[in-house]
Amino acid sequence: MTAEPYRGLIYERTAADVRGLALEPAEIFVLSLVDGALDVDAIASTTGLDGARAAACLARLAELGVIRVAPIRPRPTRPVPAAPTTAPGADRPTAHATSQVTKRSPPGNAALTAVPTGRPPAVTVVPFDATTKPAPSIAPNNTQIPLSSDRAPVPVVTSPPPLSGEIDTSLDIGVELQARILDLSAKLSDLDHFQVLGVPMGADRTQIKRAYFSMIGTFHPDTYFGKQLGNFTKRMERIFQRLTEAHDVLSNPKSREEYESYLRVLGRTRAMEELADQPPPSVEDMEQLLLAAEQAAARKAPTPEPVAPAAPPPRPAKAPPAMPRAPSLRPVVEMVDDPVARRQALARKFGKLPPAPKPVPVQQNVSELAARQSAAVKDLHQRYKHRQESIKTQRVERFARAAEEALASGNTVSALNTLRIARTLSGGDIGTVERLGELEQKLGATVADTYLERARYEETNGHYEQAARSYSHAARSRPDPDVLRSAAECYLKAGVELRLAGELARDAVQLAPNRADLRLSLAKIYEAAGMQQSALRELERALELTPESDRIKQWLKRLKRGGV
Amino acid sequence: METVIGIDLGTTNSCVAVMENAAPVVIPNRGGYKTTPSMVAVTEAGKRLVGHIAKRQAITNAENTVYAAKRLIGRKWNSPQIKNALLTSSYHIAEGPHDDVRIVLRDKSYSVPEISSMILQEMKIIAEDYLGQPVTKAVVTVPAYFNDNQRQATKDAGTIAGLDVIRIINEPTAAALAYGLGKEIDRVIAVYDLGGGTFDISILELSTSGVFKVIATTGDTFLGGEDFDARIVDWLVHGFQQEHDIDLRQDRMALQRLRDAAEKAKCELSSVRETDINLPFIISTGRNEALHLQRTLTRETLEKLTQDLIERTIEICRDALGDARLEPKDLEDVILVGGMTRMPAIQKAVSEYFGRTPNKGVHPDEVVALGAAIQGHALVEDKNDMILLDVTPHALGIMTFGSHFEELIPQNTTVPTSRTKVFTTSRDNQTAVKILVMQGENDNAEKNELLGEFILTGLRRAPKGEVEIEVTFEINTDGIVSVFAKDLETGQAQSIQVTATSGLTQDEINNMIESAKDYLVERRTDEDFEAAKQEAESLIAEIERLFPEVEAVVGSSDFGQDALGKARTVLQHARAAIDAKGAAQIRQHVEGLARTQRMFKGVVSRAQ
Repeated sequence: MTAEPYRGLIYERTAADVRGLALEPAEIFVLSLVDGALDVDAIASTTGLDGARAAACLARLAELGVIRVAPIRPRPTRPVPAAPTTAPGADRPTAHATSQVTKRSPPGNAALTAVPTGRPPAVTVVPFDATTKPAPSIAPNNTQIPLSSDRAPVPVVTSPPPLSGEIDTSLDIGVELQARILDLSAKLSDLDHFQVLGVPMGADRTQIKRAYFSMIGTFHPDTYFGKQLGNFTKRMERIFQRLTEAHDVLSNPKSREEYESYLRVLGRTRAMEELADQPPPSVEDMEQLLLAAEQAAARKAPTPEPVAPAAPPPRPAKAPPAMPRAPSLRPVVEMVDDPVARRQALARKFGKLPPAPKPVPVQQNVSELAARQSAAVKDLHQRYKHRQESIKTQRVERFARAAEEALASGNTVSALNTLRIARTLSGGDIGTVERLGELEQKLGATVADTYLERARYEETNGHYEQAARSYSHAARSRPDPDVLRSAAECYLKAGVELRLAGELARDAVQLAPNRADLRLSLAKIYEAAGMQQSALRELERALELTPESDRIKQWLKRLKRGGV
Repeated sequence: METVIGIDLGTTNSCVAVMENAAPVVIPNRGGYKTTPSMVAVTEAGKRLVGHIAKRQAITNAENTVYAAKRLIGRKWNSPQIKNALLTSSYHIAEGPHDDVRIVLRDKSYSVPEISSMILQEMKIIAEDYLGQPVTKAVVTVPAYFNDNQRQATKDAGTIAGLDVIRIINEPTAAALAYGLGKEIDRVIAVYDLGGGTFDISILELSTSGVFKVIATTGDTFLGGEDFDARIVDWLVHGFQQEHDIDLRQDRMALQRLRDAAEKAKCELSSVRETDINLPFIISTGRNEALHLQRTLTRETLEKLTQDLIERTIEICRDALGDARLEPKDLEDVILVGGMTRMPAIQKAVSEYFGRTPNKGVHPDEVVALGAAIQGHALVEDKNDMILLDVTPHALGIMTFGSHFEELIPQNTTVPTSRTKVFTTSRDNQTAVKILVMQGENDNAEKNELLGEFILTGLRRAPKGEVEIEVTFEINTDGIVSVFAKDLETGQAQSIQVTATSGLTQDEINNMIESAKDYLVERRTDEDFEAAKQEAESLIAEIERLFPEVEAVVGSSDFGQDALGKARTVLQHARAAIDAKGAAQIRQHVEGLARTQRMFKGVVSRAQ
């Protein structure tokens, strides 16, 4: 059977029960990826199988009635969303508070708009956009097994249809161009620099420049000098600004590198956030995948390649939307138990072996028989219980190990997931609780570090509100006074969420009450919020801690005077 | 499609150009010169002189002749540059309202944009004479490092002169345009522009797609040829002081002569190794004795006197490359703009720093005007094969508590660009919020240039923090800053009161526009009169020359006497019309004069 005819097909799961079937690990793996959106090539590249093999698996699965070809769905057309007054591209506040002016954020708004076709709307960095958590994914069929996507899909949310009044035929620019401007300016905050320029991630400098130069011919205001543009002027300027920013960041090798690693980090954190909102995966699904991976490893006797590289690929640009990455668990998981018995159990599970032979009852003295039977039953029962316990512990251990490995290979999302399963299975057994507790701490540290990396980039590039949120996330996973303080100061710089900033700064002080600098940050926030008395109090305490500080003395003087 | 002229409004000289058949061409003035001195004077009779004619009488009318107004435009009275100018200028600089600057000529006070408008008007007239049609649209150039106040003042100057300045562009960018037009190249270049009063260095990227993108620009708006001249003047004054114990600076006329001689010497030393400075009767001592100044200046001495100035320009080049994150080797060409770049020492310094011989294919005095003409044409025509992407040379920000400068738009951001920021009230029922907008690179806000105090007024009364105003700071393609505000709750535009800006009010500008128009009318009338007068006078001269001969031929007959009598009457009336300065009347008599002349000629030739 050749794969050719199946290449473009998309399959979806049926309601059939998988567990009674005799499936090969590869087939299970392929099955886990069928979600009504991926086509054969995508599945092939994800699983690492070659196209023919993948197609063959799919064919078999279809034969078995577990999957079927998905009906053609009409492609959603590009909606032309209503232009919001505080459009996503608009710049958001940043700054210090002056004594007579304090800033707050405008009513929060990031308009998430539909990104219809092919490419996943991956991550974005836009000046001062208020990032909101992505809504839960509504990928069709919801059969995702979110084991390992470090770049979780960004949700697809449709926006309201355009107001018919947006296009203005009296203007000096064509209707087509107007539509294009409306579309692009609405999407601006969802696109990353590569997407906004329309270049692939690997584009070299020449390609980037070429793309930029050819686009600005259309979007630079001078092209329309003296022409009537109505409200499209502002939109065009925003697009132009964004294009220029994208070009400037990407054409400098250093800033490009920093940006690309930021995109990776952003993807990871987004995936983590996504995960938090979703229900945990079913244990069976997890098991299946684990087993499949283990078996595949056991078969490939020589050292198996780690499936996930240390730095996961930048973004699933090549892959269509809503695609979880291949499970990147290292296939080598040592088993404590007897491999033969395990295989047998496995085989039994999949119906390949007849059930274990029961001890044949011997026709003997009835009471002896009864006694022996009950003893045998008791013994069996004991062994069974013992066996269950050890299975349980083993299971937890397996998951714990898998989580550890995932963590070690940088796959924080799958580690998180696996750990979750382990927790559910462990049921409060002390040994496992400790084990898991350790793991959780390590995981927490990695999560925190990922968020810190993200926060630092955002702060350096002036996206203070986003940075504050990232710092907060980091602090949640690993409380640290400096991180809390950074979050507070970033909120202050962004001029938003002063109350939150205050709480964070207070938490920082609580964690390290003898640090004068933390109290000064808190004082700054109090002052900005107009809470003079509280500010004074903190300054005085800070002074007690560092009595020689002239700066604090000046500050106190100024505050008491009531001036700027 | 309307004609747009490009004007290079230089510190020392200005130049005007226009597009002709897809190529830019410089328009020469009446005297045939391609550049016109940026000088304005008022004679004792109250007449305004602009250009060459102003320069010629500069020495005798030093107090009422203005030069290098560009060094003053857009500056505040309390700035170090104005203080410096007070010491060295031969004309009178005074303080104006709200920290502004005024120039006083013959007891009349002029604002600096007004003086510059006179030069722009002159360039406008030159263009109109050449094109034979009125000109209303222009692109005017400014140094790339000019701040918002300076740009706005230059635009005002254009408005006063009766020009619609459709774009203000940066001089180095204009030069790059003229350099790159039609070249179809992908190249990163540097433009080293050392003019009469300002220095700019810009790094640009040219591409075959017709895009000219400025990567970084910086400079010094108080560093130029005038400073080189000043060094020579200092040297002369110092030498004279040592020899005669007299400070030549005290005498305005002497100072003007020194300046003139210094400039000439400097230019000569670009081609010869030494030159004589000869100023007889430079000053008289109290004892009715006249002193002479005579000295020889060598190229070597000049280079020593100005070495630090040259080094400073190279320092600034280093900064620019740093901002652009490039090294000299990354550049593919360096072009020299501005008269000063003719100096061998400068060419040497530039070659050494950039590691290549600078491109001499552009005319340093004309290339900026050519570029301006190109841009003007490109804006009004429908084809879009050229886009200029310039940057703002200064960071824009606001002053926050503790004199801290909070940057909103960084230096070298491509324009047009904008940023928004939300402001709110910190006290209950607060009805106004004040924002100090500044431009500059200093962390300490007080060292930066204040563009204005923007007061958001008429806020609705509400508990603190409830009123949210979104303020947009915008820098347009001219590099000029605008501020808009909107109440986020109502979506209505928020009124902004602007105070503490320097510069002219709209009323003042309107008044000046009226006087400029009056001047133009007067000027055209004068020209008209001059033309008519010349015609009449040459006819009169002819007639008078032939008179004796004709008298000899026909004087004997009655008819002849009658004719001669009539001729004398015609001459008399014509002369009267000339004295009355009535151009129309003169023209009337010109016909009569022409007939008389023809008749006389006829008589004389027949008598041969």
